Order: sequence, then C-alpha cells, then structure tokens
Amino acid sequence: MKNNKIKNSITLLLCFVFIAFSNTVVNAQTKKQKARVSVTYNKEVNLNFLKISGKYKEGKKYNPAVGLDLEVYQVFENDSLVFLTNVALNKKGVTIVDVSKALQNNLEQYGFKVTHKASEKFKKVSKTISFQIANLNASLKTKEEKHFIVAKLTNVKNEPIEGAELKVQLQRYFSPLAVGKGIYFTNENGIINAPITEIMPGLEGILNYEVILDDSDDYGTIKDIVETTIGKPIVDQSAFDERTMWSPPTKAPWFNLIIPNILIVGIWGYLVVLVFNLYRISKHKSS
Amino acid sequence: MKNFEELTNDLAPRKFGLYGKLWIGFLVVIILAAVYAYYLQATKGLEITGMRDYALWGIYISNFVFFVAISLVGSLVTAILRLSGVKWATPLTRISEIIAVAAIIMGGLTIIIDMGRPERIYNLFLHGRLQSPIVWDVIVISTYLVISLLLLYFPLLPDLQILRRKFKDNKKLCKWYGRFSLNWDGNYYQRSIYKWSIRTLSVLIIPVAFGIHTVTAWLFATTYRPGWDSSNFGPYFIAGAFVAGAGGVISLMYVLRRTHNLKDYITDFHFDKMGKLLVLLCLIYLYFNVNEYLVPAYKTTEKEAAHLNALFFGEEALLFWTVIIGGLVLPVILLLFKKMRKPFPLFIIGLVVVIGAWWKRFIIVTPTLLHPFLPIQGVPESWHHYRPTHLEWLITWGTLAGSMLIVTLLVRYVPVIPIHETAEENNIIEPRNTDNNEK
Repeated sequence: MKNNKIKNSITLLLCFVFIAFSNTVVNAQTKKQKARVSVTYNKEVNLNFLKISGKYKEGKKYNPAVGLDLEVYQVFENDSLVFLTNVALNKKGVTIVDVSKALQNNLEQYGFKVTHKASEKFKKVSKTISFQIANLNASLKTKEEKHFIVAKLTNVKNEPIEGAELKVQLQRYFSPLAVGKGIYFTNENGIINAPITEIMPGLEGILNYEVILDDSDDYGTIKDIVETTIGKPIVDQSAFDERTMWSPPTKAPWFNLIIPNILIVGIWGYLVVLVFNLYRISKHKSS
Repeated sequence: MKNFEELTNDLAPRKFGLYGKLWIGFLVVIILAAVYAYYLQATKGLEITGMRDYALWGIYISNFVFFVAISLVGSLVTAILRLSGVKWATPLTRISEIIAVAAIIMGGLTIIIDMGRPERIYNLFLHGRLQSPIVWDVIVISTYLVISLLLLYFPLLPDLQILRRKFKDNKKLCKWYGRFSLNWDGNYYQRSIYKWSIRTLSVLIIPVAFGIHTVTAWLFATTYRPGWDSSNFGPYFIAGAFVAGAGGVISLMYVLRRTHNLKDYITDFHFDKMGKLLVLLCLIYLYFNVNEYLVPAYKTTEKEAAHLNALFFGEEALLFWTVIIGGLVLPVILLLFKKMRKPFPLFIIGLVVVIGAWWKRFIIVTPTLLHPFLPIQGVPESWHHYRPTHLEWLITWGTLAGSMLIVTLLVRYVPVIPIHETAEENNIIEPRNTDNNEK
C-alpha cells in the first residue's frame, strides 16, 4: 500500500516534469520569429555588392536578426537559380555579399534571390531583387577659380539617364556635409553640375566628395568618390609644447632628469649592496 | 625571567591545529574561486566588471590603494620606532614586516588584475615614459617590495639559526631553516654586516615608503578631477596609510596573541601603546580630511559641489559618514578611555579602522570619477553609477584572501616575535656553539 503511494507520487511527479518540459519545448517551437529581410544592390566605385539586412519584431521593438543563415542565388531570365554563397547576418543584423563576378555577363537586368530555410529561431523567408547596371562617373572641374563637382549617369548601353536624383556631399569624420543644394537632378545628358561654394579644411588639403544615386528602384545605390586636394590644409595648432612645463623631453630641465635618476640608482645601489651582504654573511661562518 | 630555551619554545612557530587548517582551507577556496573569476575576466575582458566609461577605476584600484596603505606599517613600526629607540615595539616589528610584505605583493598583483589586457604589460617597460606617474609607481612599488622583503629577511637570520637547532629532529625543517639562515652563527663579522644592513634598510625604507604613498596619491592628484585636484594629496595619503597600517597591526597582534599564546610577550601595555598611537594617527588623518573637504566645500565650484554633495548628502553619503565617523571619529573618542585600549576592545576598534580604511579608499577613488569636469555625452544612465559585480567582488576577496594566506604561511614558519632580539633586550643568554658541542 505504502509502496503504491510512493509509485503514484513518482509517476505524478514525472508526469508533471514531462508536461512542464513539453510545454517549454512547445513554447520554444511556437516562439519562432518572422525575420524581415531586405536586400539592396550597391555599387561603390568599382565594388559591386548586395547589402542584406534582417530584423525581427519582439514586443514593440525590432531586433537585429543576428546569425540568420541565408543562401544567395543569382536569378536568370528563365527563372533558373545559380547558387552563389551562404552568409550569416552579423551582430548588427547586416551582411555584405560581393557580386562583382556575377555581373560580368553584360545583361540588361540582373536578379538575385536571398532565402532562409526555416531554422530553430526563424521562419522560412526569401527576398528577390532585380536591377539594371548604371555607371556614375564624377570628377572635379575648375573654371575661373571656381570648383564644380560634375557627374554623369549612364546606363549599360552608355546612354544618359535623365531626371535621376543625385546627392552631392563632402566626406567628414562624423557625417557627410551637403555640397551646394545637396540634391541635383540629371539633365538630358545625364549630367549634374554642383558648385563648391565653400572650401573646407582637410588634412594636407585633401577633400573627398561623394556623388550618390541613393536607393533607386531601377539601379540600386551607386556611389562615386572624387578625391581632391582643394581643401585648406589643416595646420597642427597643438599648444602642447607651450602649455606643458617639463613633459616634452626637450623641455625637461637637467635637474629633473638627474635627481630622480640619482635617487633610483642610489637606492637600488644600496639594495644591491644589501643583497650582496646576504652572500657575505653566508660566507663568513666561524671555522 | 625565562631562560633561552623557554623563550624559544614560546616563540618558535608551531603546526596549525584544526582551526588553523580550516582557516587555510577557507582562504584557498576563496582564492580558487577568485582565480576562476579572473579567468572569466581574462577571457571576456573588463566587461564582466561594473566599470564603464565613467567609473574606469573601481574596487580593484581602491583595493590597490588599500594594500599600498597598509604596507606602510612596515616602515612605521620597524623603521620609525626602531630608529627612534622605542624598545616596546620589538614584539610588533615582525608582525608589521609580515603585513608589509603580504600587502605590497598583493598590491602589485592587484594593479595587473585591473588591466584589461594584462598580456600587454611589457609595453609599460618598452614604452613607459619617465614623466608618467604610472611609471613612478611601478619603480617605487618594486623598490618598496625589495626593501620590505630584505627588512623581513635580515632580522630573521639569527632566528632561523635558532629554529634550525630547535627543530634538529625534523630533518626537513632543519634543512630549510639551515639553508635560509645562511650559515649564521653570530660571529663578529656577521653581526656587524647584519647590524649595518638593518640600520641601512630602516633608513632607506622611510623615504621609499613616503615615496610610494606620495606617488600613489599623485596618480590621482596629477589628473584634473573634482576631489583629486589637490596639492594636499601626498601627505593625506601618508596619514591615511599610517592609520590603516596601525589598525592592521593591532588586529593581527591580537589574533596572534590568542593563537600563539603570546600573552607574556604582547601584553596589555603594547595594546595600550598602540591604542594611543592610533589616536594620534587618526587625529592627524582627520586634520587632513578636514583640509581635503573643507577648502573645496568653501569654494564650491560647480563640479566640486556636485562631487561633495554626492559625498555629504547624496548617493555616497551613508558610506562617507559611516567611514568618517565609524572609522575615524569614534575610534578616537573610544580610545581616550583606558578600558577601550585593552586587547579585545582595541582589536574590535582596529578591525573597524581597517574596514573603514578600505572603504575610505573606495570613497576617494570612485565617486570622483562619476563627476567629471567634462561629462561624456550619450552614455546609458547606468554608466553614471558604479556598482561592482559579483565577479569583481570575488576577485577582490581573492586578493584579500591571498594577502591573508601569505601572512598565515609566514606565521606558520617564522617566529612572529623576534627570538634573537627579545633575548638580547632581556639579557637572556643564548647558548653558543651548540652545533659544535652537539657534534
């Protein structure tokens, strides 16, 4: 009778543990997140890449989909897929895939597909992107001592693209600075002409200007950079040498070098003698 | 009057009993746990601590300053009292030397623990600039460590020889005591070198001890921060170190008196004297505290006011007033009464002073960092406060346990009261050439 009671208790306890455990597993399974993946095509100078980012909603907040595994395919006209690579999103929920080699077929339109097969944490998701190749060439022109950033946007057949919105900005340490109006639209020749109204300072006069076609539906994001030396060279105006007393070696007075070293060498000299004294004591035992 | 054999029997180190073994086990467990916590810190970085961009120095540096402070006792009792011819301090010299050695070893180690990338420490030696107080600190700490070790070792030489003879039946102990006694037989030549060396060390340790505390104070004072920007910091640290050291000696002398049954050697008279000395040291330190807080409070510049407000009335007020009143004012008042200078009450007061001294370092180090002249923008709110993590506490406890383990092991193998000096001072004749006679 007593044994039965114990057995029943153990069975009940096991059932409870099993139910609790199953519940946890079920909860864990039902807690699969729906990741929102976005893919953009970027061309920066000579580098062509896809920027893939992913996030998921938790409560009212979006979190980066850290570690989301993705397969990247190139999509051809007949909807056939060619596997390119596997990638995983980093701590910020972003990754970059170089597609320069995949763009060497001289096609008018390119397509890519990014997929995630269902995993423990995330549901299945896929995203497709298609775009055309465009070229953006920017340069610095100087006319009557006035500087201009001139840029030309052309398609893959080298035909000008009219009416495209281009940003012109100067690279700075924290965030870029708009040049002129900041935004310009290409004319019928696919050209913009942005006057540089103010010359900014730069290290050795170096100023880098960017011209960007930002997140275009047809062409993605294209950026070209113009490196110039038209800036006002930054002169080191550090007053360190003037405002410190003895810190620079050239300003350290002799007494400040000599006295501490005499103290250090003097004290350590005594310490060496004292350690030697231990040796002397050990060698002078009475016969 | 005891004869030499009785004196040796009384003062020779003895095996640990059950409590002694339990004590060592307890310390080892804490140290092992701290080593594991440090392993986590070494692999994950200082992220595991409560330190962030504001409080970039936390309890590790407070602990370092405490160790440096308490190590000053070596120079106080051994050197200052010895050179000024104070005979009553003889039974306390070894205790203070042991504390000094244990504290300075762990102090040096604590600095390395505070480093985020300890494997890069060699850069300090490769690229250290002599203009930097950090380099001064490295030089002066290593110098003080060597002097403390020598000051512990030289007076031990005759005692080690005495112990070698006493433990002649224990081959292992006899061998080690013999080796470390460096063939001491007390001949004229050895005694003259010995006396010169101890006198030289006693003189050397005073400026170096003052140097170590001044330089540690300058680590803070040479940075432009509220609470540290003071020309008073060097003497302020030295005065505080004397208080911490005296508290440490009082606590340890009571414990050793009990565990080693040394009532005939560490008497009520010694406690009374140390109690009076502690009053004097606390008063001097209080004077410096008044200087340290009153002048900036009078000027009340914006950031100093924020800092002092936090100490006097704000986040750190409870700790600040507990330390000032409990760790300095109350001991002075209590110790004016003779009853309070008896061994047990004085032991409790000494312990409170030591604990107060530890927290005083915390008050000096951390609150200042939370009130900089140039606040950092855009940092999380939690970075404006500092609460040490459990792992940080564990590592800190590990260093404290480490210092106590060093003390415990030294107490196990060396006499806590110098046998040779005690015999000389009491005109107890030491039997000579017993080795030869035995042979």
